[in-house]
Amino acid sequence: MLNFKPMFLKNMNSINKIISYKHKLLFISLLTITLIFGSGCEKFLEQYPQDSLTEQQFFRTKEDANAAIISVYDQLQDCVDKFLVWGEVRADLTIPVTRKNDYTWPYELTYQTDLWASRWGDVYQVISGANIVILRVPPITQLDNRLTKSESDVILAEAHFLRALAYFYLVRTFGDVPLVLEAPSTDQINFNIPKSTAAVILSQIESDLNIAEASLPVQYDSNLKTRGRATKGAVNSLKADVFLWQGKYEQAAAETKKVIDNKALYELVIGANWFDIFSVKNTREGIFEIQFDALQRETNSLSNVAGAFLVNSSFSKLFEDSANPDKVRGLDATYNTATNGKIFWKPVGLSTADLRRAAGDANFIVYRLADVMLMRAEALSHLDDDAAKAEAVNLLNIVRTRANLPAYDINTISTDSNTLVDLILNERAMELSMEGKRWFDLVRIGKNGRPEVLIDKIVTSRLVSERALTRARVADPRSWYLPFHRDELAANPSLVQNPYYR
Amino acid sequence: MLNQTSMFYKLFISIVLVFVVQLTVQGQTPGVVTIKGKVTEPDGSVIPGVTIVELNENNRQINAVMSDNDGNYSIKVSSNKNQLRFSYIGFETKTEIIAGRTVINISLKISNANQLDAIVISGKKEDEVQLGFGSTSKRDLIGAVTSIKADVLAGQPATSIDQMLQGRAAGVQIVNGSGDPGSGVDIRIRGAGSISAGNSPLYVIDGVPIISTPYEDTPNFDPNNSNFSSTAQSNPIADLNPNDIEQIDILKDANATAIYGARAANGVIIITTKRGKLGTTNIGFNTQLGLQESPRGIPVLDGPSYKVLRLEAEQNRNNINPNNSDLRPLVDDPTLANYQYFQNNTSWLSLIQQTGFSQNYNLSVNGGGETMRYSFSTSYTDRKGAFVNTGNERFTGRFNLDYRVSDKLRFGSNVSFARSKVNNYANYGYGSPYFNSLLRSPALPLYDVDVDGNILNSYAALPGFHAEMDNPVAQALLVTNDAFSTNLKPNVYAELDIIKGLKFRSNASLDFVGEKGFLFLPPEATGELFTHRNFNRLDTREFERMQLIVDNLLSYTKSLKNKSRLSFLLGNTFNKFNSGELRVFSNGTASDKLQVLNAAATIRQLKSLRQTETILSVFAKADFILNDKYGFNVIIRRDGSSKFGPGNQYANFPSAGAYWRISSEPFLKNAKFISDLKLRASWGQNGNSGIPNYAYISTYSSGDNYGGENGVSLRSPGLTNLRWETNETVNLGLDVSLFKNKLNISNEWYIRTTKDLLYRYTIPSSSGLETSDRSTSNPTVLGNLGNIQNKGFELDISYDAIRPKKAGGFRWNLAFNVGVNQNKVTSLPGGTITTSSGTYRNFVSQVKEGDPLGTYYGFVFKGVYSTDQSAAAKDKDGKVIYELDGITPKLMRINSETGDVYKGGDAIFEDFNHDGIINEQDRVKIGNANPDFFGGFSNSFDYKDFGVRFFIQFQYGNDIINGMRYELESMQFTLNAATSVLNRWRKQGDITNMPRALRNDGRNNVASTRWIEDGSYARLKYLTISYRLPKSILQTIKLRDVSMFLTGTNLITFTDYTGADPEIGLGSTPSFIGVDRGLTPQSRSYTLGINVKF
Repeated sequence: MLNFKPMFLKNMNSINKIISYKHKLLFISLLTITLIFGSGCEKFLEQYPQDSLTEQQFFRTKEDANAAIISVYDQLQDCVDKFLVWGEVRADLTIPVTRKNDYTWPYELTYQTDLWASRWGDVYQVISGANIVILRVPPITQLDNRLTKSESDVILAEAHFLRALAYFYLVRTFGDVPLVLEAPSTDQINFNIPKSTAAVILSQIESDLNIAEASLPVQYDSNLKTRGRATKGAVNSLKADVFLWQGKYEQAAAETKKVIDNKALYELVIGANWFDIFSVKNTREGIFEIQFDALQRETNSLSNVAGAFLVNSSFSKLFEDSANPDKVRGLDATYNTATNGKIFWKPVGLSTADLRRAAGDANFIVYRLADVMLMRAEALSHLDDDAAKAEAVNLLNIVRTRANLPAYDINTISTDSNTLVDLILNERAMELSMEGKRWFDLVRIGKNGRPEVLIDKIVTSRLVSERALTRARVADPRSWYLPFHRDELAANPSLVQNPYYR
Repeated sequence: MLNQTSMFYKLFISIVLVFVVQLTVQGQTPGVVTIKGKVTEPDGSVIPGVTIVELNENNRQINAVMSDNDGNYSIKVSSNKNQLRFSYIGFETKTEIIAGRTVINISLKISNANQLDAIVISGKKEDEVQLGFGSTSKRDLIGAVTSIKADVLAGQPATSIDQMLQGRAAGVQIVNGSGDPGSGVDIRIRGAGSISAGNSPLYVIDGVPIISTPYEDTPNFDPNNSNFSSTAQSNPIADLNPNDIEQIDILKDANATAIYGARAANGVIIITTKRGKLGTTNIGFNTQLGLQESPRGIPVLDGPSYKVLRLEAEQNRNNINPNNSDLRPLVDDPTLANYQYFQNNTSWLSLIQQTGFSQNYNLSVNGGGETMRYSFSTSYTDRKGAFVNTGNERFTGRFNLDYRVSDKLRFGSNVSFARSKVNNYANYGYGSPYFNSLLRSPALPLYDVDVDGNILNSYAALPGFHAEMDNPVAQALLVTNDAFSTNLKPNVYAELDIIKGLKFRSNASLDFVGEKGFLFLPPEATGELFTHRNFNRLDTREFERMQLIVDNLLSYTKSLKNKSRLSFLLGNTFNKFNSGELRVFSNGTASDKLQVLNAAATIRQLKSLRQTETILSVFAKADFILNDKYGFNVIIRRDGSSKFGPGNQYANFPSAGAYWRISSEPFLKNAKFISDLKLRASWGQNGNSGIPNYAYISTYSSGDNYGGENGVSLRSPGLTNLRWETNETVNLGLDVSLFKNKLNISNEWYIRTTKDLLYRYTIPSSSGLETSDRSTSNPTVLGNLGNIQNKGFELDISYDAIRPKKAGGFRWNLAFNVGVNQNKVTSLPGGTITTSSGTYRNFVSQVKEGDPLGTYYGFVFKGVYSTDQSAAAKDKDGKVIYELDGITPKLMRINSETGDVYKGGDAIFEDFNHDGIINEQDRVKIGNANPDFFGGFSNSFDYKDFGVRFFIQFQYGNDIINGMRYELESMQFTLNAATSVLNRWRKQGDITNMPRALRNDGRNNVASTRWIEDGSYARLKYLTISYRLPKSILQTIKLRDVSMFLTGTNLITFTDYTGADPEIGLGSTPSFIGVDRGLTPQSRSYTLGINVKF
């Protein structure tokens, strides 16, 4: 472009000279050739966008490195609807208000091929964002000496943690899934990745988490970052969950211990303030909470998802119909009454009274201390060790007594592993319902040797008329995993549909 | 603003007219000798356009005129001693001494000296065809080109040139987008060859390619407001004044367009504007006044029968709860709070219809002498549409100048300016006011009513029930939706003859298109409350596009012996294209009277954008004509574009062609009835780069925040393989002229193949790439995959059925053209593409290998079940299938074996696999939106001063999704319905084709043949009667020419299509055409025109 105007003017001036020139033909030809092959052509064709950064312009400074990892958390925010749907609605605590909308379809045991819940693009965007960070951030330390190696390692560790978390949701929901570790920054990479087995995915998760644990801090300079960004505590909680999923109980117990022992950072809120966990957010109980703030225009639709379901009456009975009703976690906390039944209140309410959030900005709590305590209790229950079982009952009692419920007496209850796990499962339902945990709890117990627990809970939660069909379907463990979306199968010829849906 | 302009304009016109009349009167100075005469060929046939120059003793030119259409001339000479020189290209020049004569008739012989010049051979200047960077005579043409002269289009009251071309050229499909004034036109030359890179032709005006497509608008960039669309848009082509046009050439095959290389994959339309001619000044004034009828509506139910329908729809979904809020307004229940709202019978459509009125004034002045020629024109057009508050205003000006510095050097310039305004309907909420007026409940009132039933002073816009549609009258009258465009095209050239035959030409041009948009939504029209984002919403947007082009051209022509000729062309082009936009969306202005941004409570969104595209091209062309019998050409163009990355930036586009004039062979010498017989063959390639700028660059964008910190994420990956879409055409042509050119037939056969198709192909979402709408679609990546083929045949016939023996005798000319085009996706790696932008209700665009673009899939509708029992599954032989008990018939189900059963009154869909379930497996190909053939047929009759012309345009064999019928017969929502639903199934045993009313259940409304209709039509597009004042009267009133015409447009349409207008715009998704979305249909109009020449 540089030569654009001068070239034209030169051209006009030249013509006047040429008129008197003898070798007109030669001159004009030369001029034309100069114009055609002249300088500036290559530069003329180089144009770059002004409203976004090119890859060459980005990944140069410390700020760029930080902006890159922030965007992965941003993408994680977009996943929370699915995390909740995947982890909750196929279980026994909910019944749908209307049967056929995007959220409630997974509740049906027959699926559409274009189910909203089987779109996993949001979650893979977290993975691709993490892959980009892992590839592009380390070289920045060479370009900008303000970014130290240890700061870069923290960012990388966060990326590994987020990637592991995303894969853990995928592997629990779909079973075998494509393992994508390459950053999608050009069209030269192969997008058609076949699925890897769940075992391969899980071992990738474990190795990512080991990298993450090595570099992540225990806490950051602000409470919001400590609860909202990846920390050692978050990694240990996720690791515990991953081990528990695989039936590696001793390792799970070891990871949970690291979290529970950090009493300076993590402690249960008192029973009277139990609802603060959800309304105030980022309490001392929170280990990793996906942050939302309406003032920053960061909102979610968790309340819409939750609003598509009512509380299954068999579940609300747990709080109400015993000798000692649960007044801490039950009515006006976990749920509230509405005209059409009991609605879930955790993602909706600002207080235990009927005060709602103006905007959908409840945090999505991935891990909190009560959850980790119950995970530890579950891990310990499986160990053939009386001391461990005693600690398991003790942990269970800590959670129960916070809710003003009577403690179990280790001397009067059976310490058979299954009995203990059933008690813990019951406690997890009351403590963690509508936090995206229940379905994964049932599948975990089901796949680790006791499918009848899952089958019974699911069947008895359905209408009598549906039970026979439900039992027939849910008895097949392959049905516990969702189908791949038809668009994904069409776009990826290497992907084979999950066996139950073929 | 434009209203003021128009006032000034009218004032200006009147002053000029007064001036002109005075000038003409004063021009009659006595004492000068007037010489008259007639110029003929030796055989007596007249020669129009001969230049007659008065020369003095020193051979200097004193005065000049041209012979008129009848060969007559009249020139005022200052002295008897002077000479008159008669010259016309291709004829021998004659010089006569006046010597006291007052009548000099002259006969000119065809020049032998210059017979090698092609133009000489063809004899008539009007046979000249404009190709890129030069012209040729029709006789020497190798590629496929259709030329249309302005006089063919005279009396056709089109306001834009693309409309003028409709039906005139075989193989060129031109469809009006809608009947609204100023709306766009879709043009496909030889079918659609691209899915994503655009199918619009390149427009070239006086040698300069222009910006011709509307600004690529993204009306829904506000992510929280997906239901709002359709802002007014201006169309740059509509800003050209049709009166300025001398000739239009449509270049169709790759040989003709190769010189435009990468910009010409979809054909080129070359427009030549009028230039000054040697001789005295011509002043012309013309005016057109037109009336447009209201478009045909679709009869809809009145209030009471609407309520009956709605009640039935509720009952059919088992809603019989009398307290249900959906039911209460339908039953006569005066205790209902808003009872009086639901007791009306409003005919919405008639409230927004009007008779359209258009006026157009055009003034032109042209002329010049040997050294300088000029042409000036200005026009003003104002059209008011057939619906209230729709219209289009336009002001244009053009100045063309040619200046001869010396025998060797010429300069020239063309400057044109246009300012226009389009006001149109906004699609707020559910649809445009036209759409809403058909669908809104007739039981609702126009004006608000108070509790006592008194009519209030404001429009009724009800929240809650019945509120799916906004009050269309309020919407039409109160919503402002305007677009203003400014169009400026200055262009200068210099041309130098270096030696005989060798010419250098340099051209610099600028094309500026600015557009401003303005939208205001007052709450009275939308019914929104003050907390809503659309309460007093004000959107303004400014777009600006500018194109700079510099061309350099070196050409050489050498005439050889024996009617042979050789020519070369070498050139280059620099092209720089800048665009920018600024948009502001705001809401909550303090009052609906304060329509300015500074009164807005909230600026919802601010967006600005700047882009640059550059193209660098070199081209060369060689032509060789041997003995006027064989012609050959070779063209090569090399283009570089900023849109592609390293390694793919440049591409070469070659072409070669040849013709053989069989009629010049000795064996046909004796076949006297053959005037000309010519066989043409060509091959060539073009490119298409119609993709967004910077697409190949991996980009990152901000806006991803978390925990109060800002993040930046990958927006699009680097596309290292992205390259040009290549378009290859093989063309075979046969031109036949018989009986002294009385009958001219031109045939073309072609195969046009698009390779390396540019489109956004779907990739797995496991890639983790960003998608436009992540909850509903997979990510896409732009790439080159697949081929599309268009092959076809074109026939153009022109027949002078009756040629007058002498001037003023009876003349009858017929012209007929037809184009057949078959489109097919010949290869599509990756299988079926479904385009999310291409959907209409349950219909989805699907592109499949082997199908044409524009194929519909769906179920086959076979009527309506008369009873619940008749909805039984049947086997191949038509026998009822029973359940396991052997007694109960197995009922047809929806979607799955546990799905709902079909009942009496439901649609019967063909169950192809006889499994008793209507699902995906029963979807078949049910329609094709491409016509089998299309074309036009025109007739002109002239006798003395009278003329009659008519023009019929036709299209055959295309399918249309009748979307308006879908809306008006689906009976699924709370909307009004067409009167055809009175025939619906109502009780067991009813035998009908119209399913039952069923609220919120779309089982009968799935994509099926129920909505597909044959879109074939023939339309009497124009009928014109013209009258020219006889010479005798003209002489008395001292005017050169006065003619007038009366034209009827869209007078009669023959079609089986039941919708309002079978002419359906092609839209922006080439794979999903022929969808009647209820845009304003075209209607009959009548135009009276008067042309005066001074």
